[in-house]
Amino acid sequence: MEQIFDAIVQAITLQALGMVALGVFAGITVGAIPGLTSVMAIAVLVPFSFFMTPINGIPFLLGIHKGALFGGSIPAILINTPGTAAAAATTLDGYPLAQKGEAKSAIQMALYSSTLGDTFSDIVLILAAFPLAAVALLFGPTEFFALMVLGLTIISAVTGSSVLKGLLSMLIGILIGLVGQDIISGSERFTFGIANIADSVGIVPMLIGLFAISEVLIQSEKKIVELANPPESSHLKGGRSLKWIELFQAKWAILRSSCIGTAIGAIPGTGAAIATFISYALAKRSSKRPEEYGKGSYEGVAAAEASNSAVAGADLIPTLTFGIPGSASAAILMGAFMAQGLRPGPELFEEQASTMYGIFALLLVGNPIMLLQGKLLTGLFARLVTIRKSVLVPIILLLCVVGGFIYQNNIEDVKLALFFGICGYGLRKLKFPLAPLVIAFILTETAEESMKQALLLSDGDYFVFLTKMAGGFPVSGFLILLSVFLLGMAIWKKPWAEAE
Amino acid sequence: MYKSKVFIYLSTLVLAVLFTLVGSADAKYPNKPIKVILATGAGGSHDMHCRAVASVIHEHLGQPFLCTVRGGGGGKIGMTALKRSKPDGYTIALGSGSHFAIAPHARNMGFDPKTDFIPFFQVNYAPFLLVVRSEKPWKNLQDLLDDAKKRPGKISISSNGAWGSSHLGILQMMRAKNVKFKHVPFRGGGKAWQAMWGGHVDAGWANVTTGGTLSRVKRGQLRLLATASEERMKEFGKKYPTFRELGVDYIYKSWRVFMAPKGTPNDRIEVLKTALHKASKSKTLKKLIKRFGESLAPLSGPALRKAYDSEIDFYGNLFKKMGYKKKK
Repeated sequence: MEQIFDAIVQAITLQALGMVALGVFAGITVGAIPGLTSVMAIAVLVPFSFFMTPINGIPFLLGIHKGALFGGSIPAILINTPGTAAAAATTLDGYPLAQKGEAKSAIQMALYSSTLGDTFSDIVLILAAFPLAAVALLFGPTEFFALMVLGLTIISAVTGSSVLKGLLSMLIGILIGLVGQDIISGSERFTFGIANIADSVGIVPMLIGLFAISEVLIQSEKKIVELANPPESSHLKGGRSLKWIELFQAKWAILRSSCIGTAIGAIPGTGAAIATFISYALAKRSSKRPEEYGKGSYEGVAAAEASNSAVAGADLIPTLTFGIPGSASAAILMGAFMAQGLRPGPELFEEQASTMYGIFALLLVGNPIMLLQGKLLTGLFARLVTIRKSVLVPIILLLCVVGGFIYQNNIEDVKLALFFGICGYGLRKLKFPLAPLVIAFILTETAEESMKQALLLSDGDYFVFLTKMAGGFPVSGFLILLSVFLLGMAIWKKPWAEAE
Repeated sequence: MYKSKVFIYLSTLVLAVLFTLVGSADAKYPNKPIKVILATGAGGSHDMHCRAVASVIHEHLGQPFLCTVRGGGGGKIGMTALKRSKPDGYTIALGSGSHFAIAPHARNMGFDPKTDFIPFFQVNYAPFLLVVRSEKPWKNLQDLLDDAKKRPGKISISSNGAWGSSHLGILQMMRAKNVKFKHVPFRGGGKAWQAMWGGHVDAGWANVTTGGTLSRVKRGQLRLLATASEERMKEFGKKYPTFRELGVDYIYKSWRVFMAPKGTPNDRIEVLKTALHKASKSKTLKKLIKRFGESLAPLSGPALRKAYDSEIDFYGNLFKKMGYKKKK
């Protein structure tokens, strides 16, 4: 116990704190620019970490990871474009809030929820990494498929007023998700020989197109006179500060979402996007005011942001305990750990315990640092909504084009983004909700693979999804039954909601 | 308003012209950073190796390496980008065996590895290992094969994708020993390993770094059945047999080799080669690679070219013997 205390005290030097702060700042900036991903930033800065001590280098990179998951919410709220795929759910309520002139309080809610969610998962990482990793390992193809099915049922929570259009949107999302290479057979499907989508459709260009470029097109319809005037809400100077009562009311949503984010983040192969949507949907179901969701609910923003930041800490669990990264950022982080001589596996916590505890301490300290930086930057960001649309919209378009290119250094992605922009415009004009499309797209790849793998393993027995035991518990069966239950509840409640 | 618009347009034009002139003057090579394409995608051992080399190369070359991730399409996107880039020595790639030696036989990748690229420096390689969890009943490869004969199609082995490097290993075992395994493909080696470690499939593949396999074998958590190398691996004290020893003609060495597009001038390649050889003697680089659990194996020149070509031919023959029809 004393050893841990010593290690922590030794680690918290001014220099190390400075590196964390720098990392968090870089992360927020990178997250806030659509097209720039934290993967990219971490990858570029990793070689620098090779020459720093582990205590300085690793927390620096971890700070970027943290900051980016909050930073992604900023464009999601301000211009309806998720800065990272993980922030996709934040657009659902964040953007309506910004349009009502409450951008500042929305970003603050995102900041507080992100910090709380991240702190929660960091604590879980420190205290329960191994037990949690053991549970995560129970997830094989059968269980993954069941989890994806659960994910698909939550789509019903975000369909908006027309269930039919929501379902159609979901089907389109599934169709797009099927585009690309099938790893079971190796053949390319629906790619029309286009090299860029031979693997799968890129999520970042798709999000940039569907959300931001479509918004640009929609705004362009308005008369130039209307756009050249300052927006009606500009007198609010970006909005007011978040009231404590609003944060307090969202406490259950934040807690629940942090748990879900941590749990899903600990399972390698599921991403932040899945965690956020599931948390959002469950928050809506359990909320006292579900009708606000989609129109500007602070709870909705809180649920989405707490969840995606919780994934940040939880990501490290499978990465450090058995060396299989849960995401692309985690993969690079793992490389950085290894370059410092910190090899993932049981030995990490035995032989190099003091270094690890020092790193964990700095990981936790990163949260209040992010809170501080966020508070200072929020006012600045929120003011962006006071810019006249006639200036803002072209800038957004430029950001989209640059962002689409920077993502993979590939001009084809810009074309892809433009294509989705036009599709998104069409869908929105026809009043189709975009969220079901995005969720279905994200889930389809894993769902399809897992289903096929599970059936290969069970020799074609479909009942395996209900009967397979994992760790003495029918995990897959439980998730499937939960999905059926939730779906049933949604269908039963729907006629009620339609009456509004 | 009018005046300032003209001014802005004119100055932009002048600046643009100036920018294009900068850097084209042919001073001594290299006079600007070298772009290194990573067709494998972000993270992963390839990425790490590239960045490790990039962190020391500046001292030996005078210019840095910029590792640029261009993943996707099983290497198609990155490698075709290399093929189409200007062969002036400022764009190279860190190639992977599965991209240049295996994938082109499996489907139309849009390039011919023998004619479109010039491999000039091998950093190292990491042979594939067939591993099982230590609770499993098979003590060695023969046990596994015997069991497979008794229960055809029941023992599951994961791979990193259909017609990829580890799938070929499974196919070779089945052909050479006349047994049937249940092949379960995953998206990438990491996921495939995870399925094995979690007990969802019976056996899986790894290299020494995947999931900390080296230390897990040493600690007895994983059992190594065979290695896909030419000789017994010294990392394991030469205790474990190779596939070839056991009668299965399967090698996969997961190469990491720097490649240039065809047409790159020879003298520039020599400059890069010399710098890389010097870098591979650097203590810093050796230490970094060692921390990944691997070691450097620098190779260049005719020996490298020969190994490269024979690798491509080896897999070409493998696919032919299996009667595989190339898609598209």
